[in-house]
Amino acid sequence: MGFQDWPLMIFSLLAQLATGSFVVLGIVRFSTNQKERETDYYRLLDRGWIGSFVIMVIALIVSLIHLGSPLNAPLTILNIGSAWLSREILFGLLFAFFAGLFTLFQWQRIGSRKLRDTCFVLGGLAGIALVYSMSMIYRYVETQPSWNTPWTTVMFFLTAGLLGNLAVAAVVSTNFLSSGDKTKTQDPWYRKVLRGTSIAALVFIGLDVLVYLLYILGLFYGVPAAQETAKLILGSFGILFSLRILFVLVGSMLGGLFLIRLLGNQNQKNLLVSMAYSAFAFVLAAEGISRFLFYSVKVRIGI
Amino acid sequence: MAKQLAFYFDASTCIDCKTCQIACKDKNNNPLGLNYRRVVNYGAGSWIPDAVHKELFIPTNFFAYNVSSACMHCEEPICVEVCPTGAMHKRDDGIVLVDDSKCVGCRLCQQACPYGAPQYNEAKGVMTKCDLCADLLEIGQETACVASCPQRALEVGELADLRKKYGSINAIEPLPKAIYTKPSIVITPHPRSQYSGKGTGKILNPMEV
Repeated sequence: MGFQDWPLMIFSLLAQLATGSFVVLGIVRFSTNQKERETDYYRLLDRGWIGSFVIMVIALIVSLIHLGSPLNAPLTILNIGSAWLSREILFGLLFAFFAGLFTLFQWQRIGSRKLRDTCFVLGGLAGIALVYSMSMIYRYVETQPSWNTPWTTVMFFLTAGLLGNLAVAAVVSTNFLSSGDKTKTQDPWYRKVLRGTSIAALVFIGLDVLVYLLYILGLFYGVPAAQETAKLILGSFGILFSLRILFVLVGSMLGGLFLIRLLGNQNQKNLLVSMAYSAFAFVLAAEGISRFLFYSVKVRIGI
Repeated sequence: MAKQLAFYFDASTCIDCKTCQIACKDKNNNPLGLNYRRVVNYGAGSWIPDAVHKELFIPTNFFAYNVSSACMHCEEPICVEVCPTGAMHKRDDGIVLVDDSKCVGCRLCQQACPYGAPQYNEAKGVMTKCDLCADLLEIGQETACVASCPQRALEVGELADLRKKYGSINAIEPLPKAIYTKPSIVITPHPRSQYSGKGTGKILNPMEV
């Protein structure tokens, strides 16, 4: 366990945040009707997409840090035939390409709506393929029982879903509440987006905790190397494990309070914005810890 | 031409002198911490205290044996399967090699191999591993480990021939079960050897291997 795992941890979290928020923004976009789209504040979605693209580019750059010979990086897509790592890199590049193209077109209003929709769908599909192949890299390694489980895929998608929803909720709430205009804070479109993303985030958080506990339980009943991993996570790394659960609970409470205040029409602006951001921060920290444990605490079968 | 070159190891005669390990390290000029061949000590046992004579402990269930392990040049090498660049490859004669002009140093092969064969060379920034002394075999010499073993416990040959000669055991503790990679190894077990996955002992020199 050393610093060699940190770039991977940051890459996987950022890539999942980028794909998650890209897809969530898309859902918001497609569920917005034509009339609402005319409004200028609808443009804040553009900023979200720019953010998602930039985060993905940062993730790709960070991923290079863990390589011993980064100059050979262009060769890493050569083994598409058998290596999920090659597939991950291919889909990562495709996602970055289509997300970038779509963001540019959408931001500058270039091309027809159909063209932009096509770019978005291709980007979204590449993003989903990216998260899937990312998880398959680890599931494929039969000799690492804490990786070689279907939960890996489930956890990666849950991370993308919950970070995506929380990020969108946090970004939209800032724009929503920083506008001094009283009519805007009552705007039904903003309220709908905030309600939708925060409810979705809470559902994802619930599933995330449940799945994580089932994953640890699965390790306990697995082969000896899996049992050793579970013992390490709950033993030597027990503090991190507890913090992971604590952070996600605090995050979900903040998210819950945010939703209650929003529904109750209590619009103390600064408080709401702080709640959205701190919920995001706590959950991001919790996901960071569980990803750290995923990469660093593992017992391989064999010698 | 050989179809699948393989190592043979005789656990019943190995005395844990580690000459093979040192010969290998010397031949490959490996830095501290990098050992393509490692001798693993495996065993178990406990003591039963005497109720009256407090200083007396009766040994029980003691056993220990050694396994000299390098790359198994597997028939289904997981390192080759996970390698994103194709730097890790299997030659026609079965030898698994790293092409260091292609290796990107992502270390996924290291995470995957259950024999700890691919090892990362910090200074070079690439993975390195046992190449079955292909250069020596080419000029008709023996590999460094085989040539150095005072017990004649190691041998290199065609897998099929070795199996005809010594049988076809390929998994004893503490090596993993053969299901993961189909290792090209033929082992004569020690009388106390245990089958992989059914072991009751543990690796006695974990820091060393």
